[in-house]
Amino acid sequence: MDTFYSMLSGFAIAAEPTNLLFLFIGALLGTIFGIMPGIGASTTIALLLPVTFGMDPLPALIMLFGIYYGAMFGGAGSAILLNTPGTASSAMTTLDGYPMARSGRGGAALAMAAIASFIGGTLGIIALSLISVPLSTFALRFGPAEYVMLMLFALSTVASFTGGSVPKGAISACLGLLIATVGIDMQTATFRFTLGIPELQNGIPLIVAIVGLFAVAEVFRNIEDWFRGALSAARIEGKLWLTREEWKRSRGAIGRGSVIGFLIGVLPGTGGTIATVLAYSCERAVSKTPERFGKGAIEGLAAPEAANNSATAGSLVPLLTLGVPGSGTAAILLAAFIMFGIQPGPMLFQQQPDLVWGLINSMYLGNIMLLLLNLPLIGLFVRILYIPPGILMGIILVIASIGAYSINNSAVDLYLILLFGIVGFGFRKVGIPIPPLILGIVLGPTLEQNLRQAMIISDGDPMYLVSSPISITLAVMLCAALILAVAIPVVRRRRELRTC
Amino acid sequence: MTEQMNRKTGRCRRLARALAAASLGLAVSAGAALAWEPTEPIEIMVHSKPGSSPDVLARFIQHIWQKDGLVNVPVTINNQPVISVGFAWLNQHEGNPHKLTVSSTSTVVAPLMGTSDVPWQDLTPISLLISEYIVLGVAPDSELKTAQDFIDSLKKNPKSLSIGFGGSRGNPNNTAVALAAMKAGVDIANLKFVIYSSGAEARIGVMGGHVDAVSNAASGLVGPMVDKTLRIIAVSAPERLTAPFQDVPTWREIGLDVVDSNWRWIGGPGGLTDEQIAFWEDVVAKTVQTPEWKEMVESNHATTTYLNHQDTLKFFEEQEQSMTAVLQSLDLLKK
Amino acid sequence: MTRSRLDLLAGIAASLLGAVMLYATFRLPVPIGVDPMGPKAFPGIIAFAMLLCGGTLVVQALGRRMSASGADGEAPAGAGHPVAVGIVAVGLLLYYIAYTRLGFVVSTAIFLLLFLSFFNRGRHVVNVVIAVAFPLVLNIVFVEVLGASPARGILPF
Repeated sequence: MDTFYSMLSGFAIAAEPTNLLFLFIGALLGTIFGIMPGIGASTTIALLLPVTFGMDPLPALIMLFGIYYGAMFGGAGSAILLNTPGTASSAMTTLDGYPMARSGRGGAALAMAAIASFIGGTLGIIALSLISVPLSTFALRFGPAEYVMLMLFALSTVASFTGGSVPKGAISACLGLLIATVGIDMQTATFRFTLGIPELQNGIPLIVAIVGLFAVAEVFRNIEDWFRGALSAARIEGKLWLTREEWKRSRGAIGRGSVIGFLIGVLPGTGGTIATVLAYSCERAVSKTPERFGKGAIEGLAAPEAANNSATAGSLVPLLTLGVPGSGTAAILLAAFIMFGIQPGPMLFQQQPDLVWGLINSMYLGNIMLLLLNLPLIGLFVRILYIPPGILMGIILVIASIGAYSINNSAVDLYLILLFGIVGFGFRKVGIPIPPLILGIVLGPTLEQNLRQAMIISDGDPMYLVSSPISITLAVMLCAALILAVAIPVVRRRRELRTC
Repeated sequence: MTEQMNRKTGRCRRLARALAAASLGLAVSAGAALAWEPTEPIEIMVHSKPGSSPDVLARFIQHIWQKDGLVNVPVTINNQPVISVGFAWLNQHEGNPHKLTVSSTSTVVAPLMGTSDVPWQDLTPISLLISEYIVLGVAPDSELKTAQDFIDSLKKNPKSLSIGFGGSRGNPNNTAVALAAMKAGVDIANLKFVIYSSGAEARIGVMGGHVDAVSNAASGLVGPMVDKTLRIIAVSAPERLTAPFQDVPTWREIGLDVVDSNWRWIGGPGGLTDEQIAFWEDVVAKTVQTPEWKEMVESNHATTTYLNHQDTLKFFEEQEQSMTAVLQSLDLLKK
Repeated sequence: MTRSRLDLLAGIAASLLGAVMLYATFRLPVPIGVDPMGPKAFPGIIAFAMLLCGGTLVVQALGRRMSASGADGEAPAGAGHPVAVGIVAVGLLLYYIAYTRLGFVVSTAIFLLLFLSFFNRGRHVVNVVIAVAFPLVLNIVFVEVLGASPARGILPF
């Protein structure tokens, strides 16, 4: 009863004018910087942290949280219209969002992105409010062995991206995993593959890879189109809104995406990017018409967008209940809490219910605010498509560059995005899928570190990896996914041959 | 004869005294005239990301300096990705008293391990800032009820327990436990140290039953101590800490003389003059006296450890010696 | 380029990369007394997998070429313009080299001017305005709003 009362009074607190003002500022900043490739939620929050020093904790935290999920809304805009995701968790949105924009359905895509984000985010916050504690107890049972199995399972879903060529998908994933090993090795404090470049000692940031693989590579492709005379700005056809059919197809996707996103977000060490990949793979797996994916299937847009917003809420579960961030951005939010002298953890709900519930409830309001902010902006956003392509390409390159540079203030990152741009361009020419590469970069560290931690604990015994109910379940799922990945194309080919 | 000599000595003494007085006066006035003050903006270098704990500490110091007007020029924070890059940057500004750094034990440990090329002797430490002592925590239902149980289990078989900690090899979380085990005669090269990317993750590793113990700075385990989600069985301090850790025995109480802490210091590049050092010593001394600082230290269960420049140098020397011993046993020394 | 020639190239590149990484992994220093897997195991396995996959691609591509020709299609991306892309890539490289030396604003202005003069030909006034205003605006946004510090270079701000 007490909790219920706190929950309700949290709304009153969240609705105070100061808090609303900072919520708006945060949401707006998040959206703007979310759209720009290179700068995402974590960089923006980290840079604004000092500004909040003298403020009261609650409005400051409300603003910083607002930036977090604001970026999830914003990242979709550039992903859909320009094939350049604004944040890592919008990368999957490009797969179906951009084809939709090219075929004239850009407005609908933007609308669906906003709505899916809103629903996913709201469902996530509801779950956060109601089942945080039992969930966090469940999350505790994930140790090194369980993470290894989960990461392997996530990698196995890569098979659904290979489009028929398993070696190509595997090459992409392997490259991602290798890139993830560059830098300092946590278990031994030695450097790997840093080529004597000090800036590489912290590894290659994911966002650098994304900016290169998408923004720069896309500009390269546009340049080729330009010379072929084939570069045309995407035009909008038909209504800017969604058709009934598009709605119907997306309902399931949003629901599934929200659930997957939230659960993945809850696990410390996995965040929005993995959530979007898994949500996309799942959607594709359950679809009766998987060949539509990658060509403008609206479900392929709805699932990741719902997932990344609910993952945001999910990553706050371990943060608020255990004091452990559920994602990289949540880690910076944790630093904010500590800066204000607040130690998140089980006691927080009891000791400072007003703070916690004021914060959580401000997120509901934030989601509504963002929806209201983004929907009318669709008309504005699509105007971007009417900018002459030459100018647009130049602007994208500049924004991407400054975004990437601001992550570490390092010129090396600039050269890296150029390198990734060439890689991304090459991959597309050759038909190697890019999502496995991203998945490899994101999962690589978690997979390797947990594998080695498990081996330390078990003193080298591999059976430790399948010694708990959770890890055994995941192992079974992994085998099933692999078998299906191999079996389905074989079965399909046999069927085709038979009908010949 | 003696009287003559006495008078001469007396005159000599008086002359000497007068000369001494004159030169002291000269020195004081010269010192006053030469007293240095910053003339350009200050940059504090932190070799880790925004949001990390040295970064938060540096920003806190920046905030106090600007708020209380301890420094009359703007102060900015310069984040560098890793220690080697950060100190290389600092080295470039040798002799410039406007470039400072807030750093940690890694200043002494990293060169020993070979992860940094800049020996601490090339830098100018101004003062230590705070020290956090390291505690050892286990699950509440663990069979390990006391620190002695922990040591006994390891003595019987060094691989019987897994110890999780956050950060990187050779950091105080690692060395505090290793020191204790080493002094108890355990073969520490065979210990199962599981490294997590943060103390928080190590903590939930213990809570979830995946590792047997967690080694972390006291401030990180206040919550679990209070709500009893962890049992804290030892602390690496010279004497017991304040609430809520007042019932936690120190390693010394079971006969192991282990004092290890996660200390932070502030300083500048090599080649600073005495006046510049004196200025900064003064500013830092004032900083740690402010009520805001004291509140911060208390809420972090840390200890303010202000030492002046000379004493800090001595401290670094001692640390280097004791760390070399531990790191050698852990086989972490640079080859 | 035909599909299988592209695949062949990709396969060879991947195999090469795998081999190189395998070699680099082999040469990593290993401190004694570390975790059972060590820093070499993981990259080693992955590099080997890449070598295998690259090899598989090469074999597949060769197999397709040797089988009944005509089963080979033109690569989906159509005719390429590697020279143009190459020039822009070099342009970007120069831009990045100038970035820290000349500062964000100046180097961006120069880059944009050159880029736009080529890709947005004829509209000189618009190009100059964008080339100068855009970096200035971005600079203000980043410095004032975010407190970030894009490279200053030769300008005083």
